[in-house]
Amino acid sequence: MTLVNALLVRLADALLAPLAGLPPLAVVAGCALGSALAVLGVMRFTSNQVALGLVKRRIHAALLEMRLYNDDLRALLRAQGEVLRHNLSYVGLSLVPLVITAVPLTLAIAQLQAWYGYTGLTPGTPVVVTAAVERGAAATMPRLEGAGVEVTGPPRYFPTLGEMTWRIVPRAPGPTTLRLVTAGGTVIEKQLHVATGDDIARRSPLREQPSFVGQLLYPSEPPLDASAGVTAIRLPYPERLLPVAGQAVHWLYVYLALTFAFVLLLRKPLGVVI
Amino acid sequence: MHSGMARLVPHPRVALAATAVALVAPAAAADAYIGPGAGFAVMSSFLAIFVTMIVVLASVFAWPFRALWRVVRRTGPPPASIGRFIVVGFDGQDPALTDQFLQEGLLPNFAALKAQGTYRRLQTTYPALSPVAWSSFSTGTHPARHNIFDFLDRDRRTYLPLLSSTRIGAVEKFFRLGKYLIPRERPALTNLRRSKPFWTILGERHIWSTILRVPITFPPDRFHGAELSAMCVPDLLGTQGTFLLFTTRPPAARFKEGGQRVQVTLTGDRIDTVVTGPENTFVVGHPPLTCPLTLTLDRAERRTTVTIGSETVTLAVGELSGWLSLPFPAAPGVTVAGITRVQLLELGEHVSLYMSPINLDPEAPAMPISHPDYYAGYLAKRHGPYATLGLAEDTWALNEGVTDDATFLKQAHDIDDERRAMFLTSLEKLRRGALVCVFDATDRIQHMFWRYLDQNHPAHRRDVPAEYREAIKALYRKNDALVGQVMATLGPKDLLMVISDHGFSSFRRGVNLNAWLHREGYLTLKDGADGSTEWLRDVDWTKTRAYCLGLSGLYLNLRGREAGGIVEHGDKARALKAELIARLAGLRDEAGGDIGVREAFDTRALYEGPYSENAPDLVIGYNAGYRTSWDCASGMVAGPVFEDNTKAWSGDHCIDPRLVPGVLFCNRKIEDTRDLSIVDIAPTALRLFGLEPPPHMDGRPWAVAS
Repeated sequence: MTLVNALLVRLADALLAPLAGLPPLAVVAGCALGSALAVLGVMRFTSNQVALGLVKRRIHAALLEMRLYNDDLRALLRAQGEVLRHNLSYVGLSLVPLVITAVPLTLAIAQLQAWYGYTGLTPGTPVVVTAAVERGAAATMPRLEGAGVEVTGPPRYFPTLGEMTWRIVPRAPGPTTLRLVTAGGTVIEKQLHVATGDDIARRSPLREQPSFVGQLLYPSEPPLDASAGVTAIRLPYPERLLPVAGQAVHWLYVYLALTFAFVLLLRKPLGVVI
Repeated sequence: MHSGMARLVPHPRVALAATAVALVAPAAAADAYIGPGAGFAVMSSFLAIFVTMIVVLASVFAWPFRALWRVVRRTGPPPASIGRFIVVGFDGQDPALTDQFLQEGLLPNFAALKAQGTYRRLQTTYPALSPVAWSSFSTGTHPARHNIFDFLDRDRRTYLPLLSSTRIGAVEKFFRLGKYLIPRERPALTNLRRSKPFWTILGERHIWSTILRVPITFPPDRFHGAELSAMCVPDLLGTQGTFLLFTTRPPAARFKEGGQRVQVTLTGDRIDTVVTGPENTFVVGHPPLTCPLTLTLDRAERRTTVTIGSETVTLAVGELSGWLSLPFPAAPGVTVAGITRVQLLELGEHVSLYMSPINLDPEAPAMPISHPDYYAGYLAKRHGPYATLGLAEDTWALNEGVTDDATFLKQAHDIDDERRAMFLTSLEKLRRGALVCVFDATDRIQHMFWRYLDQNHPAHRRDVPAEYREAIKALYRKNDALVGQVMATLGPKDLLMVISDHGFSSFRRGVNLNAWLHREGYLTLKDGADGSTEWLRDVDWTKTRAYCLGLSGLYLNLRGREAGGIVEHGDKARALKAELIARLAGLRDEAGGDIGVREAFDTRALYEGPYSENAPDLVIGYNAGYRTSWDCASGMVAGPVFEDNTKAWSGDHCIDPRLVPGVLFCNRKIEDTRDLSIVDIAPTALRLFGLEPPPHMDGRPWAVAS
């Protein structure tokens, strides 16, 4: 997974970095269009389109039947049973394309989230860095440091939470590396990206020990060494919200809504049953 | 839920499903990262389930209020002596053939029905025509009260034929937007059948009826129930069935009946052409709608790929396709939709492709063909596309020799199968109320295959496969099987009637009564005209006293009624009518050696009612073996009075109605000893449901044993 993530990070950076100057909404819309085409392509070539079309027609028929025989409770319930039965068939027929689209799209969404999910930390504004540590690790109280970052107080340890915190103030905009140095001299790094205006850049709020979900959702950095005594380092990046029709909306909602819209618009011209 | 889904898919997919679960579930829990593909499946399913839950809940909560409302308004159903009233109509099932097949033991279910209840002859109407007879069935009235006297009526101003049952108006008010026209009104559609069908009366007391393909139900009736229109539903071109022949062959004489030849050019092994549809009323000037049609020939494999619109099908020579969508883009966002079937007729020096009449697409009909509007779409979604054209079986293509017996049989049986599926589903859904379904295959196949039953028919051939010789018998057996299926579902309170609107007879000789009227001096042609022009255009109306139009009607050219009428009302008209009746009775076909016309019936003596004025003055009762000739039916005067009928259309029923009664089977005893008539069924149905038949009904309810 680490290797896959490394490759995906390089690929995503190569694709998205040139677009960083564009309005985020435009990039998200473009990604939604690409995703819609991918979804339609996968549906077209990996699903049984005839069977899908048939089962959809049956669902519609059952819905119309409920309208037709709305005086007859037995007919209504039977029609509802048919809807449920055909729905199961529909989901069953969608499973293969579902799996095939879910994997790459989940990976792609994780990369997009790193680029468009967060705004940077503001220079001069203090924030708290949190490290989750293993039991007993607090005795050694690691040291936090980083170029362009001022650590403004001693670390605090919350034994019930198993967490240590540092109050830091980013001073210089741009990328930097936080270094957590243990008493034994082990260095644990965490990438930090301080904002330059409303810049678009790769940001990852969490680095943690190896786990499938962790690596799936936070692919920007390799996992922590399992023997370091620190299980996770967390940065409080604010969420980036996109302005849509006067409202601030999380990019993921915009992306999903646009993907749905593009799929619905394009399915008939492309002759895909979905 | 996910494990349940996995069980539904074949074994190799289980691993994939498990992977999907592993991938999606934690991701969803962690950060709602659901891929859009998964999202679609889940969202669509959820939406359907959600909608059904809402509908069910709304219906459950509303049901007591609706029931209470019916009690308050006293519109609830009265006590009935039956639960379900099921009528299976086999259009044209002949009593003589039925008797013969019963004796041969070929119809065990009909025999069981006869043994259990009733088997009688059923008197038909004057004339013995489906639109007339089924209208009498629906309304319980004679033609003078329901206003349907034939397939055709005439325009009294021009003497040109009009469809007797329906008027389809044109849209005249539009908003103009550049070259586009946005209609400001719907075209007026009128069903000219008058009087109330019995299902409308049942509906007024909240008794449900499902009415499938009963003739003369276009546009559909509005009542408490569902109805799919039938006879007289036009094709997309607005005709009663126009097939298309795309051919590279040089132009030939145009088809006489219901077909158009389209000349196409072969470029290499490809033909590019268009299907021309109806007028595009959404564009200024109303140019015809078109849909591209491409044929890509594979001579080595003797097949062709046919692409129409967005559909592609590969056909071997002689193979008939299934239903294909035929979309005609009319304006941005507006598509006029049809469905059709195609057959590659030849692939040699010349290439020919047959295209069936373009039926209205039941999922998006250009005109209302069902009640409620969505009912046609519901049936299509449930059972797949189906024929919507009134006379759906393409008899004209076979008559013109474009298609062959095998193609016609397949078409007819496919349509019959479509209807059976609809009927059986409706039967399963019906808990209380009426279900009527008319099956046309009996009529159409007997029309086209009678020549193989009748060795004296001019179109009889001995060297035909048994499949064609036995086509009628096979259909009767198929119908018998359906009757068995229905009987198996009957409960103790259910009443089943199997009926036909008329019987059948051979059509060996055609009678051109216009030629006879001309010969005898009742009809005069314009100077220099030879009478070979269709639709009576050669007739000099200033000197004509009588003329024929339609399949059975003879009209006097009455002053004040017809635009060019010369016969005075009153004594002169009565005298002329009496003279014609006397001269036509026993009209002899010398060459054929038989009587061609048994009797001419004065419609005023047959029936009285508010629409008597619209009736033909005489209904001609042809003898068995005779019928109005093809030329006479199309308004030609030229030619002999009697001539051989050499067409495939070889059986008919437009003869003396006393010769072609229908059949009545019932699972209960009908105790009346009088002759039973098709006009009695509507009042009988009302009585069985506890309603008193309205006084205007001509029929009288039967005494049905309980």
